[in-house]
Amino acid sequence: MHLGVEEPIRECQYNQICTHNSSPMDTPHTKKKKIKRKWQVFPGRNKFYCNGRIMMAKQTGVFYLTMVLILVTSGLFFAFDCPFLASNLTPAIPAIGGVLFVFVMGMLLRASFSDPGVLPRATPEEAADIERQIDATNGPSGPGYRPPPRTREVVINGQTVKLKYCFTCKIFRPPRASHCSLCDNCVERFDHHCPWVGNCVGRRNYRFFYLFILSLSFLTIFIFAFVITHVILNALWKPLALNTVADFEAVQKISIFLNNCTVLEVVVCFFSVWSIVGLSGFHTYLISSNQTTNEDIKGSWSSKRGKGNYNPYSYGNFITNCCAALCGPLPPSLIDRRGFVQPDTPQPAAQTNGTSACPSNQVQSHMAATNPLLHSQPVILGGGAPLQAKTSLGGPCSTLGPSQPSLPSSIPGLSCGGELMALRDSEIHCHHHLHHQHFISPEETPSPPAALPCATHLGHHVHPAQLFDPASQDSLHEDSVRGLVKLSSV
Amino acid sequence: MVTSSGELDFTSTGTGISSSHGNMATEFHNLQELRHSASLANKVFIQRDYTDGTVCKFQTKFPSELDSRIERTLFEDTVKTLNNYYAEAEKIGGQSYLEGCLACLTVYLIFLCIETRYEKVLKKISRYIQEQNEKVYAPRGLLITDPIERGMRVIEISVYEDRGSSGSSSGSSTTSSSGR
Repeated sequence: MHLGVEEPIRECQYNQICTHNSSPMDTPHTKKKKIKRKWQVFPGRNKFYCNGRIMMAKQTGVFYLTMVLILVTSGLFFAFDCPFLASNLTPAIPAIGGVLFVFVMGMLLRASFSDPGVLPRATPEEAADIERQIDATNGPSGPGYRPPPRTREVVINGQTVKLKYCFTCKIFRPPRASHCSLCDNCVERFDHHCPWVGNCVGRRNYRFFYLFILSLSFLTIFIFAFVITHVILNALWKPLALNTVADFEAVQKISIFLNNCTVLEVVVCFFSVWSIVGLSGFHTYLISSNQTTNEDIKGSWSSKRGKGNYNPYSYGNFITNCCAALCGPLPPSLIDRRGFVQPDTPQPAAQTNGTSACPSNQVQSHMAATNPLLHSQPVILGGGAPLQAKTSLGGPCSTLGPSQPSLPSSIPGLSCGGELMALRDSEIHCHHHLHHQHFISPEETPSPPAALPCATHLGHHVHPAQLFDPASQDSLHEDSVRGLVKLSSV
Repeated sequence: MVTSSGELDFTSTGTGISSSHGNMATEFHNLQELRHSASLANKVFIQRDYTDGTVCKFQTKFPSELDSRIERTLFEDTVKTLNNYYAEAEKIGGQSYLEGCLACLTVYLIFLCIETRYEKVLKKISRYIQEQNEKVYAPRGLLITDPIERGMRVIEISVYEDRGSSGSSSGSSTTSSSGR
């Protein structure tokens, strides 16, 4: 066949163009060293420490302030007040204080360092599938027109809830989930983004956050009370302990120093008590009515919105709500921070990697839906293919680098159609490095099927949908580039 | 394909899974053969069912793309079993309270030693999915991806092209054996 002869030559050319930009993929062995963990290619704006074990927001300055305040105040308390109180009142005071302090720090660190319940972004196939479903319900949009906001309605316990589509994560958000603009993630059961804790508060760390503020309010009240006690007792007992002038001067110096510390502690505790106790009370109310801060602020379930408006997630009585929030099962992290990146797995941000081969009709509807400028092009694969070949190979070529979106992520349809061509382009490369990558990452069991279309396409030479007219390729290529550039600015 | 044998645990046995259903199932002896000799035709996504709230539950509606590939009852059984597993994981009852209180008392350090009930159930789920893939789905040219790998949003079913449909079934077995 005429086309069959031409294609291998073109494939070679495309290969060369691709490898010029990305890291050279001469040997698969270089890849072995560059294996990345998933946290390194995480698309959100989070910071990771300890090789992905710790996850925090980008701005952590206030968190350090929180730590300093707690440590300094507690430190001063244990250093200067506790000896007096232990000897004069009871040693249970520092003991209880110690337990409270350990609990507070534990909860704070747990709330700050754990994954709040981030939802991973959609894989390209999922995004394409959702786009297709949306267009089936809404109807295809005209060229150059942004489709209306996408919502889905679902009835939960008799209450109609709207599920919104997240344009960044390309998913329909589950109920109670929300997108945090600071962290650029969708978080399940999103409560709020807490700068004091340096993280979002969501489904997985809400109980830690609540226990943190609860125990901190106890600790603050505890320290406040006993520092005041110390001051009062000091004022009462000081004159009785002094016999000599030297004693008096020494005690005076110490007492001035202690007074300063005490003043600092009292000031910190006083202001903290109001805010933290207030916050604890507020969150106790939220827990007992099974609402999130987000919902409360928006008044989602308030009776002011309508007569029939009620919270569909509440269990009815506040005890069950409290128990469910604090003692319910702890769901695992969905983002698998420390897992290894499968180089051929489609990353959500770089969607041009090995995706499923869709039949031609589906491709056409994808492309029509997602790229208005290509809507008028009759030939499907020709237009998308050359560009896709370049960028798809950018995927396997720089497999283990961070997945930088070379194309805007709203055109999965293009990738769907184009990769048929692209995968045949990368036939030679894919075959080799795919097998080596299986060696490299044995943890991924079983590896996603999407990882293997490269190899599966090897024997796949002529597919009816892949017949295209090479002559019209160049003109379509320009159009597709323009289309993509336009989309990337959206 | 020696290199890929190290990747998947369950394919080491290589037991023959022959199906009794005529043109609905092709002969794939193990899942790695399926992947290497078949080509990915489509992916079907089973979305979450939120009518019971935020609990993890998947829609049991039978997708039309699988109409010719698998029997409705088998599919529904799989999804219902998965839903039951997830319900068990997220159940709020005596055991979860005990676990929660114990963890709270130990400042959640106990989870460094033992795994949560949810994690135990997730392991059961992945074993179940593996078993279902081997026994039911792979012989029909389908493959289920564990929802946890997709953020518990969807059950992804990869539909592989039925090579046996274009040629004879013996043709497909020769390609599969040559692909080994």
